Amino acid sequence: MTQRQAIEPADFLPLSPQQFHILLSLARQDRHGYGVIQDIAARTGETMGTGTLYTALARLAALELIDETGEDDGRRRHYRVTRLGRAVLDAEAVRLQALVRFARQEGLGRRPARPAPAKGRP
Amino acid sequence: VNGTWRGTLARLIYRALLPLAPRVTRPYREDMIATFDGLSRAADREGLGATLRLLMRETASMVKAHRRAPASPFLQERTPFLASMGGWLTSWEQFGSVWRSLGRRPVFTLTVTIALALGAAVTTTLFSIVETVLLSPLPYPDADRLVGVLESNPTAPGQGTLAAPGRIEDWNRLNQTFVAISASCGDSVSDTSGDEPERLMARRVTARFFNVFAAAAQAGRVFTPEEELETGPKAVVISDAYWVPTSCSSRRYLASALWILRSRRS
Repeated sequence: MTQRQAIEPADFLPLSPQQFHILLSLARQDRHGYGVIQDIAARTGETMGTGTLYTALARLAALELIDETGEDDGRRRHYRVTRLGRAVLDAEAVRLQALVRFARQEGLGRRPARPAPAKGRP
Repeated sequence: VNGTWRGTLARLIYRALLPLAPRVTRPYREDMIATFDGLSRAADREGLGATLRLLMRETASMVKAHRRAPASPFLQERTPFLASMGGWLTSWEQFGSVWRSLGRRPVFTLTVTIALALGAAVTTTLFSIVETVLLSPLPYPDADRLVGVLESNPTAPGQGTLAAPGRIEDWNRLNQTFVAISASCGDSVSDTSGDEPERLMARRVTARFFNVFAAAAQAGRVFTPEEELETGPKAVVISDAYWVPTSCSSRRYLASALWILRSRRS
């Protein structure tokens, strides 16, 4: 008889930047693909391509870090973070925080982060 | 979906891009199209430039998606277009990988480039020689009827010897195979009629030389039957290669030719 091993959030680390941003976007609220792209663009100033987005969504869904809400407004599908996904996101944030702390101990990264460039025409 | 012609065209192009990464686009096809519609409408409001940037970004994104999840062999077998596009992308990625790899090894790259350049140069030179000597016909009418005749010594086979002018005449008189036989040998003469002496490459020829090659003079004439006789008047035919580059005065060359004749007579 085999015993299923417990899955730890640390097993999923490190996340790719795309996966991190998608989880972060979905952690705030359930979104469809276009909403995720808009949220990431508002935060980082970079517009993610749909190929990149859905490759990452498929990967996150396969890892059971996200799933679909079942809400359907026409063709759009909505995604949400699972409990495991939220734990992984939290673990990744802790990991990144530790990395930043190590860098700061070396005197790096003390400049304020540049704000994301404004999107669209003024 | 409403919008301008730019948006409609962009959506058509986007749909054409979807087969590039079927493992991703198959399960999410409708959702991806809906997401792109939103992006397309936003870009459409900003103008043509924004739509073009969107399409370029989506193309790059699909290529990346293809790289991460290429089409399965099963799908490639059933979609030849997809297989060809996937193959093209794979080749392009391999080309980029090779290019970067070469950039990291400059000595190796330089060595290979020089070796390839030398190889190409040698091959081109050899082909030029073979093409000129063997493949291209001689620049004479009925060149395939020209035959080279040599006299050899039975005691030293394989080594040609010079044939005397009298013997050439005997061969021509006795032969029943060729239309005519003529001969020539290399010679060099000096033209000292100008300010600076000049060394000229020349050939002494026997009778019927221009008849054998069916060559006519571009200007003036070739040898007359009287001039072809051993005891006849001497004459010179000036080549085009000598005439054209230095043709400052035809009178000077006439003087030159006459001087060469006088020199031969003395």
